[in-house]
Amino acid sequence: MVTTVAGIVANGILLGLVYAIAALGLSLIMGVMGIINVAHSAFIMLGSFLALGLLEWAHIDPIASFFIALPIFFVVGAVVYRLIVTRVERAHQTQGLIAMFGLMVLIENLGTIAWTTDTRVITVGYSNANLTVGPLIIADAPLIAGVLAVVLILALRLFLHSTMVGRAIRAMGQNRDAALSLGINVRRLSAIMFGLGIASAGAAGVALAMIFPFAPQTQIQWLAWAFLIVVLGGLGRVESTLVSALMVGLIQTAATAFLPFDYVYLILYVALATILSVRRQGLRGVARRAI
Amino acid sequence: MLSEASDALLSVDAIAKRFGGVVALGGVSFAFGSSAIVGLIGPNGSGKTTLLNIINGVYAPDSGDIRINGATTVGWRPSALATGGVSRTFQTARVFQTLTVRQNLFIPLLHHGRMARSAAARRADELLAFVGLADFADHTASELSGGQQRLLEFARALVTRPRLVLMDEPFAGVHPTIKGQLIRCIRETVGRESTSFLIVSHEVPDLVRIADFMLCLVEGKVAASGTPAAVVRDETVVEGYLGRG
Repeated sequence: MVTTVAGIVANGILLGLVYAIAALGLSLIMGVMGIINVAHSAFIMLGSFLALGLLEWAHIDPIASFFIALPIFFVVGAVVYRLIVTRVERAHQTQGLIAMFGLMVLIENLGTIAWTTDTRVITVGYSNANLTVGPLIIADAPLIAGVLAVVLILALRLFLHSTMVGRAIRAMGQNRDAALSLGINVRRLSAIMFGLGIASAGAAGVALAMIFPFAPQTQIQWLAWAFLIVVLGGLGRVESTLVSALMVGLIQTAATAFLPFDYVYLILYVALATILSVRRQGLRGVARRAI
Repeated sequence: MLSEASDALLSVDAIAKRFGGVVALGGVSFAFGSSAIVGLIGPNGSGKTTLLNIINGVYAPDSGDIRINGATTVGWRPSALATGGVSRTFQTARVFQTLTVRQNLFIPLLHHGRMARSAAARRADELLAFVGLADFADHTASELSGGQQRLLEFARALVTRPRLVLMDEPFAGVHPTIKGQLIRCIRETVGRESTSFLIVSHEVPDLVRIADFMLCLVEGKVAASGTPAAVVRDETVVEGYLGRG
């Protein structure tokens, strides 16, 4: 029993870490810029296919692809910000939502044209290997994905809290008008923030592809997961997104261990409703910009 | 006109602004030069904050012109105006709550002026000492009282050595000690840096004490302008804003 519980905790934490990076970009972009980027999961899907492409064409391991994805998706994010987001960021939030929804549909459909709707898996040497620690057995792929997630989370946390650009981004998130009136280049900082959010989505796509099968049309599942984590954890804070993602990972792993998979979603959403009612601030707390 | 437009630091010329069917400003004109403290008074909804927002580039006027040192600034974004020497404070102090008091000053300096870190740190510490917040430099801004946050916001507005500072209700709800400190800081800044201040306030006695000139807006138009003593005695101002007795 103790071994089972320890296994659930270990696997839940690893899964939660990967979920954290899947939700982090969404949380930061919403928290700092007030944009509900529903195309977030489409970039996660693109990250998964980047990892697959690099493995098939260049025999690049997903561990390396994780780090390759970061600058590529950062640039993609900055371009999307410049071409689309700048046109809607000061408009009513609905316009931004519609623009990002359109982008999501576009990316998913282009993905379906390019890669069909077939489900893919990434298979490398460690895909089916396990690490045995005493009685505890941990699969290598989630372990590696979890370690990569920790690296990204720490790097983002360090960037936002210990660099001047990161602090300026936090300042902008707290009060955009004040930042503007002080001559801070809000456009540039927003492009950096959006780029970072998309970079973390792309990297999350690589990490998720190490663990889960994927297809263009399954990206929407990660959007639901990311929103669940953001709703639980609130916006814009790396720490709260991490804690929330760990909870989701643990609940999912525990539910999967004892119940048929069909019940896992039910358990998660009941947990979500319970936590929101216990916190009493409900969805209102999600809207608070707390970076 | 409080100053000749030709040598004015700020020249506001026939500025008009409507929001839907509501006329917020109906052709406001005035000008003033360097080292001036100008008070802007008027009843709620008279267009004071709208005027500040137009000068600051938050809103574009429907018509009219604004010139800073002779250059038209209509269409400039607030960040461009900040670079051009205009800064502002807000009705409620908008400090960056989770940053330290020093970082609140440090970040605008590094991003606005591309100043060396050592010079930025010196300037930040100098300003914190000036407004009396040196002992709180490493506290987060959220730990400060409301009045201290006002002082921090004021210091932050000065970090880039602006030529014009727009202040929206700086004295509202502020403890008299902090208010006195703020007034002293404004006066000293005018004396030392030749900065001008355009101050919106309902605290008319405070403005009368500090301002060199005063304007009163009523229903989006300048009802009176001139010395504070003359403006508060003006019949239109008494009728439209201050009331009798």
